[in-house]
Amino acid sequence: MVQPVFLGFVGSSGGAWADGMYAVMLRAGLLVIAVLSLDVYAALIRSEDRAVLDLHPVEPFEVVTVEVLGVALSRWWLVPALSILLLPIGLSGRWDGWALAVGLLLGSFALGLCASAMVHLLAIEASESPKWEGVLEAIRGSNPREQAAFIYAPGAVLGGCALLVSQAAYAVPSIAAGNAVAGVWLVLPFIVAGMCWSAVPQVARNAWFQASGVLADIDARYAAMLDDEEGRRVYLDWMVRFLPADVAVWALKDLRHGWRHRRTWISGAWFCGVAAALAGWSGSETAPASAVAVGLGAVWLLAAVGVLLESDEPEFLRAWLPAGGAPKRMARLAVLLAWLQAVLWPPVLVLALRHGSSAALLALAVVGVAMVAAAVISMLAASLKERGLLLYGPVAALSAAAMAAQFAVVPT
Amino acid sequence: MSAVVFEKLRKEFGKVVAVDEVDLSIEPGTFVGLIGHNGAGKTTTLRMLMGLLRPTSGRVLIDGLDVMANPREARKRFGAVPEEAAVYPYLTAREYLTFIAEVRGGGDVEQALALTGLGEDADRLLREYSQGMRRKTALAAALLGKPSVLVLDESLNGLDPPSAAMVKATLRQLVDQGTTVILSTHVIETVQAAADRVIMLAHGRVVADVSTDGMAEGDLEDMFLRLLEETRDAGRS
Repeated sequence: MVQPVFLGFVGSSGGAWADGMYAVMLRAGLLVIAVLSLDVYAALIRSEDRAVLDLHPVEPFEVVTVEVLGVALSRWWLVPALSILLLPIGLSGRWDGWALAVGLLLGSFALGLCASAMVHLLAIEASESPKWEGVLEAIRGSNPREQAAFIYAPGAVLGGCALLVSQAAYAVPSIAAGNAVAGVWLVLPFIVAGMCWSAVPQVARNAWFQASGVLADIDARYAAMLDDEEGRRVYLDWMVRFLPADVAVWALKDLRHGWRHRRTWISGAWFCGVAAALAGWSGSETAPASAVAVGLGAVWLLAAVGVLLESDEPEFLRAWLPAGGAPKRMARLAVLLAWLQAVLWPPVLVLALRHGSSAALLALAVVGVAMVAAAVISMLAASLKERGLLLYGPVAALSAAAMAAQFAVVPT
Repeated sequence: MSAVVFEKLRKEFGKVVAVDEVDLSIEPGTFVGLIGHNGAGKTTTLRMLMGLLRPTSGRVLIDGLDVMANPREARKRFGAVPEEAAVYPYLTAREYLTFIAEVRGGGDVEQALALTGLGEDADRLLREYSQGMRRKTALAAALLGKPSVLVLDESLNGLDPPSAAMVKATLRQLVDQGTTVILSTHVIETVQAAADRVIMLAHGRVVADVSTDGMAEGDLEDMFLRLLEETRDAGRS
């Protein structure tokens, strides 16, 4: 599945190999950084440890170190997993290219952890700083101003690191071609990671305790927003107007539940949609297949939220609420399909612009069918409550792989 | 030097003024009861004292240290039990307290367990504890490192009568040794029985600051209800 979609350049030589290596390494490096950035945010800002520790005179740098190490340990598999996916590069005889790619992944891992720690801690200071007030006010949307700093921090990490990773990705084929000086770009992520980490002790001392007060204010403002009718509005809640009354009640419950407790998954749909669009934003003939593959993976992954919503419900609520039956299942299906639109349309629009209507229609059909299938299976698996993921996970993985193998292929 | 000083403390949540210009000074070795109706601003005031909430204006000093400007140093000086005590559920009480003792730079875990009556259950996982027992664990944690100020936010709620009596006796003993205790509650009898000084909040303001010396049973409740009615009437007019 991976080789035809992302590693179509393997076996080629010269410029095609270099372009392919650059493209795949840039995406792999950014993926590592994006995952780590979100995890480091959760660990440093919204960790359960904060509630226990922030009453005590902890040394903030020690707490930050432990939290970041925790993220590193929980995500250790990222580099090996991506290295395995990139094995076709080595198996084609270019073990030098594969080794350099692994080096870039390690650099991205170090950079993702250290830069995220520094930027997320700085975001705490920025959230309260008068200097940033105007900027945050302009970009906060309907969120409290302080929250805007946290919302955009992962993007800032990704944007900043993208420059370095892009240069390192350029360097990989260049070094393989014998330009040893380009090795500097491959080492640079490690150096910048070290520089970021060296700033963390001071930033942590200023910011770690401060975050508790900022978070309390943010939560209080969200609570105040929820007190008035406008504040009860959640993402896509207007859709319930178009549903039958008995379905609309359950749909609104799912929309609110999802937006308040599983927001990362729902916002993540947009992130994945943009990722799929970026995969398609290229003149390469492999771009439509890449966009479809990313879209398929995202759809099958994100539809798991349907199962998670069910497993979130405490037992007493299940007993207390009416059973729901068919209207509840219809509502879950409608809500999942609505959330997943964010994965579908960005790549379809990009493919229409860059590769014409036939590529766009193919993506629309394939990702659209995947959306319906994933939502239906997620809805059915949800009836198993907490065990639903045990069914949904393997079915989703197999379905995503099968669909990608069938449809996300490079035309010959 | 005062143990705790609130300087023109104010907290707004949007249009709501939760705490309005609170000015107080609390001497070392005093047991202060903070009482008020629901929503009076007790928890908000104490959360600002604990450094968990930023004042909109004003500041809180503990032993002369600004809590927000010196968060770590201030935390060395106070121990706190918030209304909803968070603990690590997969540690036993003894393990948890040993960890907190290390964080707080020392403290006698066995003594803290004994003072809070947790000795027999010290080796059970905290996830098996009732809410009341978790609160006692949080109190034991707050006692470690011998803080000069102890802050308890509705911490006697949910304790069975013998446990509540034991905790009150422990707090009294600490006050006699020079610790300052600030206990918020809406149970007036608790305050009248234990506190030296009672501060009454209504609608975010201090409406009474009295000593309990010579106060007869029921006096405090009568005063509280009368002041509450007056502030409500003042708000209407």
